Amino acid sequence: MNAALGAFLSFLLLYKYVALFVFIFTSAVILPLPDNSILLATGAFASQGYFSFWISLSVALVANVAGDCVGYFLAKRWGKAALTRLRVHVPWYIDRLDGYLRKHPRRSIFLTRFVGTADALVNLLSGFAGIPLPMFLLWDVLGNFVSLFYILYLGYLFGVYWSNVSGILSIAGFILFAIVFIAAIGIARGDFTHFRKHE
Amino acid sequence: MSEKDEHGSRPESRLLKAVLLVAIFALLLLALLLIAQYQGLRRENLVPQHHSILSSLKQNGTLAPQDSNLIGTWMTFDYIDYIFSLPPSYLQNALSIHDPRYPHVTIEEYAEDAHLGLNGTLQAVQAAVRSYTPAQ
Repeated sequence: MNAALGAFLSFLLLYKYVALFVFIFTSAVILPLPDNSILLATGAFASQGYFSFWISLSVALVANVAGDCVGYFLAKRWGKAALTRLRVHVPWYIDRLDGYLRKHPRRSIFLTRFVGTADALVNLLSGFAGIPLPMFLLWDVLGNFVSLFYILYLGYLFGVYWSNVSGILSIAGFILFAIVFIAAIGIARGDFTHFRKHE
Repeated sequence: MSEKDEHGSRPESRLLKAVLLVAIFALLLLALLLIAQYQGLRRENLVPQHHSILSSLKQNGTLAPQDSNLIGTWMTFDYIDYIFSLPPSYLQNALSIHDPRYPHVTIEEYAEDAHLGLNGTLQAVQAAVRSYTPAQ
């Protein structure tokens, strides 16, 4: 176990649900923290009765949704103004991703809750694209509930051996990210539009 | 908008195609790695067999003293007491701890503040847990 993760876990044991909220919220906003390892460990602590599984799930869910909303509101309120002020020209592939998100907001928001970095980017894009808040919240809550439940539950199943699954979960996370990345490139290239035309 | 080449595709599009191929290759490698990791867990018998989610959520367990090798320096004394079902003052007395933050202090913080070696303190905690015998 690396020193940083050890320090995070100490903080989690000392401040329990407050620490869990701080970690998950910070990680949801954009900072790359080892939130999967922290959730696995929380699940393991819950299996020992040191944490409550359902309280942990509720705290993590509220923190994640609150963090996602920060990205959404920032992009919605200041996204376009910031780009205009910085004189940044939106590249054509971002334009296409933006168009795809407007067309399929439910699946884009729900599925990216399972992919660490992609969800923060989709939060920003959702705000930027003007996806209605109730729709964003609904699919954000649903996606986060399922993704948080399965990680906490994995930690719960493996108990004290949670760190043994940490590696496998990281690889699974990279695989999901690669799938989303490939899909995003496909959308940007217009591959999916191309297939639709021939259907 | 970029100019199209003789094949009718934009340079950006060709770059994206190359990135796409690399990403697919990385995806295959990751899938192989995932299978290897899973096989490793199976070999170590770490893949638990549970009947259902709800029944497993009702199971709570503490550790036995012989599992004391699982103790890490990041753990608090409070957590160690809890998972090994130790009386709250057992480790405090066994290790003569005078830190006012006990048991809400980690082994690492305690060792640092008491100017003790980290490994030595960890081994002392593990030994104290191993030698614990619950009063009948």
